[in-house]
Amino acid sequence: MIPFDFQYYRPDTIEEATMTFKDLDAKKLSPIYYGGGTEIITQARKQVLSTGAVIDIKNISECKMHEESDGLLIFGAALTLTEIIEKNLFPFFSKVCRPIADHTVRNKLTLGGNICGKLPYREAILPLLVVDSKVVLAGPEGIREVPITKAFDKRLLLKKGEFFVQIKVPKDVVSLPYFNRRREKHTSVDYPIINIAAVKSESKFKMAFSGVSALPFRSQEVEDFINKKELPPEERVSNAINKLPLPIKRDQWASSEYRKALLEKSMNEMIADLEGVSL
Amino acid sequence: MSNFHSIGTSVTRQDAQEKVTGRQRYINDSHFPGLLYAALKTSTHAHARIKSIDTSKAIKAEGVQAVLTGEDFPVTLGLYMGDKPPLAHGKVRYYGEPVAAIIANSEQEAKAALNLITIEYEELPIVSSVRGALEENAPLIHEDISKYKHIPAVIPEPGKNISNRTKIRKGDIRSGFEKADVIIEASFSFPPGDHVAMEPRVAIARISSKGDIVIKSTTQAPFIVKSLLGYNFDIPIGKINVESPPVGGGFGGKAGLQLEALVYLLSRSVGGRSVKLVNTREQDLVSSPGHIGMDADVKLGCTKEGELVAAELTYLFDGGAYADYAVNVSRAAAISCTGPYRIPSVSCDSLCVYTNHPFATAYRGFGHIELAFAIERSIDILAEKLGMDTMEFRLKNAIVEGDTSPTLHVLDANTGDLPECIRRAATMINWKEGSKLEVSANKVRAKGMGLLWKSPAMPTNTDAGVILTFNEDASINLQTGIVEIGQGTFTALAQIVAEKFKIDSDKVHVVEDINTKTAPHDWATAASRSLMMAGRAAIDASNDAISQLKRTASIVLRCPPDDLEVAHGRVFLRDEPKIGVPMEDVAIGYVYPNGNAIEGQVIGRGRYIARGLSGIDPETGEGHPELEWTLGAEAVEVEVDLIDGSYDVLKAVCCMDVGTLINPKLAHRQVVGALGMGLSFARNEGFLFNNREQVTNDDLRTHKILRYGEHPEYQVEFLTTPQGDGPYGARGLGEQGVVGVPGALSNALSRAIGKPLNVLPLTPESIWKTIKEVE
Repeated sequence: MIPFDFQYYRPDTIEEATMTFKDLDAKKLSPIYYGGGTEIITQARKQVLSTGAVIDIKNISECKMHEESDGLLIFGAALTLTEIIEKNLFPFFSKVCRPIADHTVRNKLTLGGNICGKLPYREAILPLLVVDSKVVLAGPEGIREVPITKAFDKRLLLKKGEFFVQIKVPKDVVSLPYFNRRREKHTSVDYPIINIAAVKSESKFKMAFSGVSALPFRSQEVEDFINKKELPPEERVSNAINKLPLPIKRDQWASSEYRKALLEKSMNEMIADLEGVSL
Repeated sequence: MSNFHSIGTSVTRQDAQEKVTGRQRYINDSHFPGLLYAALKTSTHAHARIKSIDTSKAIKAEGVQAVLTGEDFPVTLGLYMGDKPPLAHGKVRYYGEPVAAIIANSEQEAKAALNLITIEYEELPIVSSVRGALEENAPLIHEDISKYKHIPAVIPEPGKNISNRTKIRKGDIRSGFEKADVIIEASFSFPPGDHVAMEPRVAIARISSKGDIVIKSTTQAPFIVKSLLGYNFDIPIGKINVESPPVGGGFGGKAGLQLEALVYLLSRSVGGRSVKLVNTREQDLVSSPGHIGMDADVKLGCTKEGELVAAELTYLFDGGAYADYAVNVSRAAAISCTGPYRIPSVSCDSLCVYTNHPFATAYRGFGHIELAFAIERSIDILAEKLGMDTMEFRLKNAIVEGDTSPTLHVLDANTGDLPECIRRAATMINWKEGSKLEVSANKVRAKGMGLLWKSPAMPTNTDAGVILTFNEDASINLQTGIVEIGQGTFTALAQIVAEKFKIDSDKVHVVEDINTKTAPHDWATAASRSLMMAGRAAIDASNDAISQLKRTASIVLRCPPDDLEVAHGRVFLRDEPKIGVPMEDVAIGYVYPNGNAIEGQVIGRGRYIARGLSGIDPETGEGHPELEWTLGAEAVEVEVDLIDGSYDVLKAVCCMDVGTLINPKLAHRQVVGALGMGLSFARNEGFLFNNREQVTNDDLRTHKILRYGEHPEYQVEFLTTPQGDGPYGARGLGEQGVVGVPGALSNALSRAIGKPLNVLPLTPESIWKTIKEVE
């Protein structure tokens, strides 16, 4: 049970949503945008989160868009992970989404919620970070389209009142060789203690990480080390790990030593897998 | 077996459809006008003095009827030892302990007002482990245990953090070890955790204007609740009625006294109005009691031929902040301390220790899953040191008829065939192909075995009763004090009665909602004794009803009652079966064609009380506390990645000697469920504590139990050595399947990596660390 009252809005258009936000914010209701609610409901039940109003974006058609158009794959922020997995426009994306939460939760959990929520994993962003995708963001000042590398730095960089509408992925990335390794503490339905998503594009690795550090990231420096093909794989891996932009974290799921060991193993597997070298 | 009518058939359980379709109603499904809702404010500290509690804002909040704290209820309660205040009083002793309660018109109002209570604490030194609790200058969790009332079987040590010590002294331990050629010593441990029953605990209390008390509760033990409420609050016991509809999983966690005393007090505080208290999942995990933790030191010796000669055992149970059932778990572990092995010299000290952890109650296996982990690992370590195959070693030392238990009781013909269980388990797991096999450079498959034995830990006068009444169509209503907690005993009892009457078991309607005013007296639905004891009472009740049916029919048929037989819905002459009357004509009195009626309804009364049990000697443990033993062997096969310690459990098997099978499929599922629970216990479970002993995995996001997709292949076989005094030769099998699993799994994994894994849970990281030998 959520023991506090809050208002619920379900706008039909982007503009209505942003105006609603502005209005509720002016009334000091600390509004939040609402997708599937899996995080908001559970956090509100525990009273870790409180709000005076939620704005449900599921009725906005742009947020439910799920199609290929003009050489782009468009994924609306209000799509559930199950919808993304089952339609499977982008198999790499589906693969990364499938181990997030459990099936019942994925039937509700939205792309936007996974990326913009408070939980630090945001795994659905990983495959989108390593291809040239663009995010569409809408706010009181209008709609803007931003390359993912600019829009995401450990979190989606939203201005006040802005929400994530959709993401556009060039269709040709679907054919890129990819690699994903997600490891959990013990049982598969759990948060990742490491999650690596990588593609090989023009014979170079592009990699994004979650679970390893406090927040998900992609790092040019790490990729530069991994892509130094003149060195043996183990050295490329250990150099890359030494250059992670955030420290490897330690929590009740795993020690940093174990995370590092899994990272080494997984990155070596990635090189073997995508470069066709047998270990 | 073929002579049976209903026994030995796998009839579908009576509650299957309601449960599978989600239509079964549980206590928290009941809402009615006037019902008040309670919510609890719980401690954020593991050990702290309560400096002040400010309830002034909460009491003014909308819908709030009352705000209660420990000051309002200055009593201590308990099951065996009265050491626990209903709400923390003076200080808190564990993280999650209820400190204040709010009663409001709605659940929302009660929960919202919790935030308005301010509590000021002053932190006290924390006792974070059993070994720490036993140190010379350890802080005392209970300053004065000598003031607590307790039953004589519990022996606390004032001035220490010891709530109970049970001693076993069998043979002479010094000369025992002198005979040993090989001796090992090892230590084992696992943390406390929880049962994670699907239904969180709920209780509703009401006090009528003339003082009758009705408690509706998710309890496995309605009669214990009734008697403890009467005892602790000086209420004439007949004025208390405890109702227990089917419960969504117990596993021991709903035995004893749970929320009932508090919710009774809450109702009393608002003039007896109905008050409902529902645990949140978090409170069910942490505030209410869970499973016990343990540290164990084992010294085990055998001859060079591989014969066990001596065992010196120290079991240190982490009972947490309050005694509850834990003081009896530690006692049960002493009584069965060696596991099912023939050991002539045994010395065991089993201690229940107070710590600042959530407190412990009964858990499936009740002391046995705990001791078996330590013993089964030790057996492997000893056999390996000796250089003997661990399965052969078990076969050689398995306890059989004529051997003595640690309490010096001689095992009788009912003991079952443990050596055959071992052989069958070995065959199922294909022990012959080898217990360690290389799969690839970095992967191995390995097998491990664990034996089990278990006897009920219960009072010597434990009893059960069954009442049979009849409907106009001669179908039978069966009333018992056993509670349906998912185990399916009702179906088995219906089969037992159906067997006596040679009718279909669906003609036997078991009353599902137990209430202590109408159900015959019963101890508790615990200790895997329901089938055995209520089964015997069901036979007794059937015999009683049959003799009444014969009496009425004998008048109608003008023959001696002894010439009659009751079967297939008729009462008829044994030697001339065509002459008889339908049972429905005599079940509720016979009516002659002219309207005259005779005899009246049949009411079958059946009872059973445990036979010849005694307590144990406080110095040596000698005595006969165990009603029956169920024995078995289990084995697990794993595949382990030697680089990162991750592993899959491929297969888990069990062969158990259960006596006559009443319902083979139900029995099979019961054991499969137990294997899964044992694996989950050993692989995943247990509380995680931070350095302030706060539980950091107090929800199901973080406290992971095994999910459906993660179960291995299960294989179960039964031996059927009859239990001479069991109903149709059956014995208990409800809990037993969990007992050998943690030992078997840790043995398999230890074998795989070639290093001992003596700490649960067996997470990949813990295995990786052992492989790497890093701290």
